[in-house]
Amino acid sequence: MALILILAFVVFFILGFPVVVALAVPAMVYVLYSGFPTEMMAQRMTYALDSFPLVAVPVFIFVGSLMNQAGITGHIYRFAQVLGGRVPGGLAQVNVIGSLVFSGTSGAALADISGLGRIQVRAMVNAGFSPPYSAAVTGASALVGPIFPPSIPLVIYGSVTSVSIVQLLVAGILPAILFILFLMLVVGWIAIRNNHPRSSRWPTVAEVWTAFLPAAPALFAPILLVGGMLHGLFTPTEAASVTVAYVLAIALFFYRGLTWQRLVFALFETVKTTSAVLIIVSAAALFGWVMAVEQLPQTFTRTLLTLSTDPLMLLFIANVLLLVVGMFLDSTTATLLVAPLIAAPLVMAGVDPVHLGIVFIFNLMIGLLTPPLGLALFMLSDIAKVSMWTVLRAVVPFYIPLFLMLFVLTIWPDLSLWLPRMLR
Amino acid sequence: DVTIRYAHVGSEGDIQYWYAEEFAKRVAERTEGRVTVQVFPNSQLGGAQETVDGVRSGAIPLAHHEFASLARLLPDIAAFAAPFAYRDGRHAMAATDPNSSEVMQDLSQQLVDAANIRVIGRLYRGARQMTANMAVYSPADLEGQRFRGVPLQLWTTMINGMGAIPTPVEVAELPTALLTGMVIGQENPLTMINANKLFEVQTHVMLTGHMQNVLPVFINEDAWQSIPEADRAIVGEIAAEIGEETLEMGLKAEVDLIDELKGKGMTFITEADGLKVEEFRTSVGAEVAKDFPTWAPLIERIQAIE
Amino acid sequence: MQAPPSGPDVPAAVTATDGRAYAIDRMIEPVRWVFRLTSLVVLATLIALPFIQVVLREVLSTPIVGVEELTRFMLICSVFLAFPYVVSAGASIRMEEILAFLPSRIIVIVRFCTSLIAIAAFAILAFASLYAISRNMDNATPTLGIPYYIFFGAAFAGFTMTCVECLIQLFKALQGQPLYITFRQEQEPPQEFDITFDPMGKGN
Ligand code: NA
Ligand code: NA
Repeated sequence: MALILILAFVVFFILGFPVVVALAVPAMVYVLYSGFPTEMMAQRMTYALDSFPLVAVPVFIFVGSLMNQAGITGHIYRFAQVLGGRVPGGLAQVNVIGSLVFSGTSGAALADISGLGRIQVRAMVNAGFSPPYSAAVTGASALVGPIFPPSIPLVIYGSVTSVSIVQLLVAGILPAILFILFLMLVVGWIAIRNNHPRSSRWPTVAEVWTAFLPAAPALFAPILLVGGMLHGLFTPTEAASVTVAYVLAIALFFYRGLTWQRLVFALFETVKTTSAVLIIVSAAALFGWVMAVEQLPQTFTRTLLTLSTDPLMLLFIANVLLLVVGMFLDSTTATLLVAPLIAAPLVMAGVDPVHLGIVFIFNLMIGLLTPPLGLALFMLSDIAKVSMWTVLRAVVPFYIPLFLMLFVLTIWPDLSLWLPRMLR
Repeated sequence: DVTIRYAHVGSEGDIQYWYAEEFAKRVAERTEGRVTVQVFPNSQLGGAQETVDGVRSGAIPLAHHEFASLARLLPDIAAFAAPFAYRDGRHAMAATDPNSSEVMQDLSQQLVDAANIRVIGRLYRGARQMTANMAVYSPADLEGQRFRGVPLQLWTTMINGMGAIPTPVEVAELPTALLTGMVIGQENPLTMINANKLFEVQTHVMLTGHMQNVLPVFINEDAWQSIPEADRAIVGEIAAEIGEETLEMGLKAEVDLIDELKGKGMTFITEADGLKVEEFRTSVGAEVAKDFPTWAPLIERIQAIE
Repeated sequence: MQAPPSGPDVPAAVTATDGRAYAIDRMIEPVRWVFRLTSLVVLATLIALPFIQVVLREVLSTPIVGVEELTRFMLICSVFLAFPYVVSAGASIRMEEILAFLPSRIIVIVRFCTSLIAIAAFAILAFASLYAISRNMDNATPTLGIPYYIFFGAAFAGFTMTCVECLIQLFKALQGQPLYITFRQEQEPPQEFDITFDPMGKGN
């Protein structure tokens, strides 16, 4: 039964149904046919959004939109371009490093794409990169956010599996940096092969300084936010809202480019994108509920885990499982549904729970960039104003560093565990 | 034959997970397969609120969760979660036994009438204790300090009574909030404190035992009536017997956990060390009486038990 | 997510038009504005609330218990109320590229079926929300006691209006009119200054 429902979803998806409809219809048919209370459908779709990690999504979308409308983006990227424009890949490299730097302010891949990504794509396109390539770089690099602290998905994973959240967050640091290096190599290589735009010479100190000054207040934001979080002034989720206040303040008192018309436009854009993405999370929750009632994830996991007892082999099996799950479920739903199922048997077989956490989350993040339910792909196609198919084609080369990273992460536990061990 | 879905939010390692698994196993055995219980742990079918609503509508026939989560349907039932209502864990379990406690039976019947939900058992998850980044002996020590409370009126009332400023923090963000000092302390059962590694971010445990964490097991009334009468008796019996076992396990685990947490560097403060439990009891009691005036007769009946 | 497609290769029927071009749009315009503005105001409040909480807690030492809950319920309301807007603006997330390989005659049929199924699905969801309201009249959120009918009401209103929008699009598709709607306020204001990203000129 569960397989028929999945098949129905895939067929509807391929036939170009809106994803909400493709997810909701099979689940609705099941609910009505099996005699569950009718109101249950509305309840499930509503409660799915009653989730605190999701609240950060609209706030970060708004930050990105606001920074664009206030003209702050322009200053940041003029500075970035002057500084890094000579490196092969130019702004694409800045985009990659930017994800690591600004990861502290978002901690969620979707929020990174919708917020900062909006800025990065626009900057790259203005600098002469193609929109699909700009979208692909943005999408691939945004996946670093959730493994570099702070990270909402790791926090959820930790609270579901009772693994130390502090250790999980620290464990993500080195893999995140290595991943960024991988991406920079790929971006550099693609740039050299395809003759991507690049400055003709290195900048002078004076040029850097002139470009830095107008960007300074905006560049100060990550420092302010991380500082505030470390001092316990606000939590990572509250940080999003604090960023809005800060951006509004510098837009009004420093940049002065923000008009009412632009503010209203930014809000409209936020409302629309938020609803378009979160309504899918809502429908996916109904679909996930039906799957859970049919015990599909449970059976699937149990079957796979009986295939081996070797920790490394089990980790590879978990990878396959998570990649499949990540293709169909959003990361929060997937964590809640699958983490409790696989964590216990794997840890018993000898996998370190902290290591597993990092592998787990990175897997689900890859799922954001893979069809059919890749929320990041959807967002990128909206931001870059190109079709999802085009974005997907541009993303394909980035699957190489993504899967290479996953492989390294899986077979090399010390990469994740070296830093947290110093804390133990 | 009847199949009953049983949902809860606990994950493996938690006593409530064990309870549900054990319940399903024994029901299948002792009813000789006439009643099958299918367990959905880890919020698979939804979070706390959704579980309660699901039992009410029948989408999820059977579940267990905090008494406070039933308060929307029957406000007075949350009196069973009131701070300092019980002498100890044994007393709490006796007072909430649907087979023998009159006050529990009364409220269970009211819940059936109000929301079509019946309480058929309960399980013990241990006493809630206070932890902080400093030694706390009396409400005066918490004066003006931010203390994490579950975002429910009952906790706001209690933490006010403890002298602190009730400050909401999501469970997921609790370790970070404690680490950075956004709140100086929190309260939870020792099992949760150990499982969520709060010893990494907290120095002291105050054995206030201010709340006894008893979770009612409740069922949709129509689902309950769909079980043949003889099997209902068996199911009720099993619910009670595993409940007693959780009490024994919980009390033993508490002793072990104190040692374990001491080994992990936490300092314990008990009445013998000068912890003024009576001061907390009086001051919290006064706040509860003020904010929940209808509970007084219920708490009296609870305290009269055994 | 699909931006409203435009350009030479896109059939006229799927391009966007001003929200007042056709009689049916002019008729329904006030309702559209009610939905858009409500979801906008709710979302703006949602964005501001955590910051207000930080100020209350850190500056005034009086955190409000329940702000978290309020924020989450505002998110629910905003998502559902804005959904008809998403549909009418053609911003619904879908992937039509594979479909495009099929013969155009089949595409028309599939589109028609999609439309009918979507209309039925949203109608049933609207009904389910209405039913949820009737079953939860006395139910409310645990901390602040926000009645359930408020956010189930938002779901009901959102799904009903989405159903109407789908009907309008079906009608327009049959007439060969452009499907999607944009209002002046949602069009991006032009950049006042030119952002030049490469002051040193492009080269290799
Ligand atoms: Na991060
Ligand atoms: Na990026």
